[in-house]
Amino acid sequence: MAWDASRRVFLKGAGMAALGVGMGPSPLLLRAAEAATPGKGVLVHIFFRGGFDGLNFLSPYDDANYQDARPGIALRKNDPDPLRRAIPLDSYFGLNAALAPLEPLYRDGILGFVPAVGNLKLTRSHFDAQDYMEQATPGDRSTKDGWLGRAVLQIGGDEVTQQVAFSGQLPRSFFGLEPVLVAQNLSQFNLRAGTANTTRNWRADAEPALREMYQGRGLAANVGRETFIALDSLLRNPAAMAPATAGGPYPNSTVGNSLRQAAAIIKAGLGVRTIFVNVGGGFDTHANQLPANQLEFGRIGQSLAAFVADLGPHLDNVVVLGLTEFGRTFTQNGSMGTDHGAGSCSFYLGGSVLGGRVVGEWPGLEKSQLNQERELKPMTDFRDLFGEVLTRHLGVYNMSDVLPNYTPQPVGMFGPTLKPRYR
Amino acid sequence: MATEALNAEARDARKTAAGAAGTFALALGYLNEARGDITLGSLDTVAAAHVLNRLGFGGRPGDLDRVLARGLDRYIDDQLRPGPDPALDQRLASFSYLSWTPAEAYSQYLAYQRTQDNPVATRLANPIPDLHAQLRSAQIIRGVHSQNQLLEVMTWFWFNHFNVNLGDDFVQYSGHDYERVLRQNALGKFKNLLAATAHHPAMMSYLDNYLSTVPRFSGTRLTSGINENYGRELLELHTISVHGDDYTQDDVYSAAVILTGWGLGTVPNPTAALPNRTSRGPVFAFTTRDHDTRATQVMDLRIAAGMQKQSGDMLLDYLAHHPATAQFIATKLVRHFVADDPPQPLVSRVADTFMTTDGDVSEMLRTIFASKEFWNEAFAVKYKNPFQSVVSTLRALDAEVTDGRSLSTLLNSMGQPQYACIPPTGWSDRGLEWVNPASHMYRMNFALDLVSSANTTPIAGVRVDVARLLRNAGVNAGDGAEVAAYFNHSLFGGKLSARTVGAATNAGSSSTVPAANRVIGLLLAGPEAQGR
Repeated sequence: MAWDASRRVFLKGAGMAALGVGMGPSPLLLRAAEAATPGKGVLVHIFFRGGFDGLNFLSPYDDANYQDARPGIALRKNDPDPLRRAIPLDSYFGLNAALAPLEPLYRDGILGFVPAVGNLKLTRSHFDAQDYMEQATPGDRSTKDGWLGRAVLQIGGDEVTQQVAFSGQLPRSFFGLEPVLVAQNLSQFNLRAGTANTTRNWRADAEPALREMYQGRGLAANVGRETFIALDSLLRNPAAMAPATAGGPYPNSTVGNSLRQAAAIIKAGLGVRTIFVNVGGGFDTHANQLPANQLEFGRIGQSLAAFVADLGPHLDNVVVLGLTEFGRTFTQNGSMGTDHGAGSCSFYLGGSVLGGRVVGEWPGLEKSQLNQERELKPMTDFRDLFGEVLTRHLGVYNMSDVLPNYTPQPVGMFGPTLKPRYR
Repeated sequence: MATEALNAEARDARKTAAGAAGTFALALGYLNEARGDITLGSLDTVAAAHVLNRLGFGGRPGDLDRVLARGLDRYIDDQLRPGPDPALDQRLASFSYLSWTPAEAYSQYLAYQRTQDNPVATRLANPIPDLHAQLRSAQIIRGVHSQNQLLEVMTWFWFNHFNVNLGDDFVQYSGHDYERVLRQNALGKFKNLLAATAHHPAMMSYLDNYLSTVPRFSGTRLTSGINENYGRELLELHTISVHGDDYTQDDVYSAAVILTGWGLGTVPNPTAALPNRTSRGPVFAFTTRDHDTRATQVMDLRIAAGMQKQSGDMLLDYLAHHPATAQFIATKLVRHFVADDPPQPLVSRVADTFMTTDGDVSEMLRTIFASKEFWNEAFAVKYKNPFQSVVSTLRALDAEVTDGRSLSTLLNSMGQPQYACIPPTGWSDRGLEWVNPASHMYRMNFALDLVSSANTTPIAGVRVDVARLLRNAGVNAGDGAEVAAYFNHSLFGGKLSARTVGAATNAGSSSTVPAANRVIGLLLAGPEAQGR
């Protein structure tokens, strides 16, 4: 399906303008509230941009090849130096010590790992690999829309707040026909129209005028309408507008602030179904990578643990899928870092997943088992993860529209049953 | 008539062929063709508004009439040959840190650091956050006030193309100088831009090339060696592009080999060890002992064994003249100035200009500004990115900016922090990727904030005087319709929809915000103001 911006209209809510958006409780908004019933899974997809080093995230600490290839940066079982310490999960894989908050989640069976994810067509270019992953059509540059953009067409409901991206820009994953609420800080999402000084505040006059202006056609009119629809929805659910940086257990970081807000909108019952969390930062570790890993992985570990605690029983309804565009070279480079590689590690988390294990094939780390003798060979196509989440969690079954020309194979993130495991 | 109808008509009209390059008359010819049967007041007004929007950050009140008085051709020519701008220099005079060389900035930092370590010394303030604040303020002030609008647009374009992140490593001390060098070359030859970035400490630091050395071993253990980061992005993002000629991992590696030794030199550091008291700092240097002299090959370029820095210069020269580079640069320029999805025939012509003029940026821009495709866009919309939105809104209000710090904070919130795009790709230049409700809310609030204040300082460091603006323009501030008509003409080239004008002029009046302010605020918060 080609994506044409001028077509990016409120398709499912085509009657919206006629109903007078925002001029009163709309039947569509009331229906959106119904959508927030239990059993409607929520996906929180975290995309780590920069290509993080899966081999130092989930470390094959017990593999001599790994230790030999990375004499200065390999993690070692119970090393006294926290930068180099692996926390064993089993006799082969261990967590970077910065991810210590994740160990109990793993032991509880609500967190699992897929150790060698990727696709050899992704290339070693950051943006090429990210585009391919987000379009989910590796090798085909002509795809205009994103896999989530296609998927949400198969998820019922009409609310703009069903699709939320914590990001500065609309992520390519969400490119498509459905509007997306893109924000970094939902607590600031309100029309101000002037100062707090009451005689200079003219919101009551400005808002109807702006709503009227944005009733036309075209890109700007569409985004203006989406803005007011999202505002209506959020104002009805003030609990959703959690401050982006409120302290507490979430570390002040992109991933922490985004997950805090994600938890708030999930708990507020807005009917959100797909949440994209965009995380940049220090993953592209060409040099001196251990401190950068410690900082960034530490944020991830603390944020996920805070998210689980924050959601409580809501976690039964939520799956988090973490992904990066590629892994890094197997061998450390000359600057105590690693260059662009292929396979990397993914993780999945949720109340209904079968965690506490590492699923998916592992290629081995002998020279002959590496891709081009330089990087971890991808064994699980990233689309297998998408496909499994779509069918087992989001209730999307028409794979050919979402993942064209590909038949995803479940990797076993949900195990054989859908029985919720989190208590 | 509504703008979307204009757009539809314009798109149909584009199917018609047109003649060759560029004069005002031709521009009007193209416009006449593009508008189909649309009736607008005057095509030259549309043309002038288009030029102000695309060559610069939109007009200030009065600019449109000044462009028409100067003549469109001469105005474009002026923009391609930037002249002195003493008024701007005056506005920037207080940002004294920006004149520091990177080595000076670093030495100021070291001096500060030394007082931190010394319990008896008077502690200095860290000058680097102030340096960065000055740089960010200056970027906004240049956008808002510079007469050489195209120069600022192209400086932004090249910084984004050869992106570095100001917070990174030695970029902290050299990013401001990096931008200065890019501005110097912004309208010149591509090869000079490429060479300037390759010889700048900001780039050497940001993409880690200063760490890339000939492989060295202690026993069998690698102690330092090739770092592919810069070699890869040089091919992928700066020149050939990943969409261009197929190059391989071997080419990336070979480029990195050739560029070993390109990196950072040493600067005086009073705290460093004797006898030299120097340490690595933000100055470019080629270090012979780090250079890998093996024979190698990048695509068709063969490098013989034993060469020193010259091999890197040859590589840059090879890349700066490669047809795939021409294609890539042409695509990005056309995307920036014409449309998110660049029309291929124009891209080909601009790439031809690149090849025949040794990559002359001004000549490529002339090809674009003389094209039918460029003028057709006068009836279309390219959505503004946050920086363009903030700067153009300030210009529309004839704002005076003396301190951009609050505006920098706003740009952070809108998702486009200045000089802080972390990945080397730079920001997306496709307007529609900046379309989202949160950013849109900030835009509306910003426009409304600027006109709602009881005094002329709605935001710290920003002066807006609507009454004076209208007085200067000879517009009756008490007449909302007249105010709307003036802005429709002077900013939008007469293209505002009746719906927008009607909504702005009919808005309620329950506050003490004057009618003229309300009308202007709403027009700048409205749909047409989001595009350029």
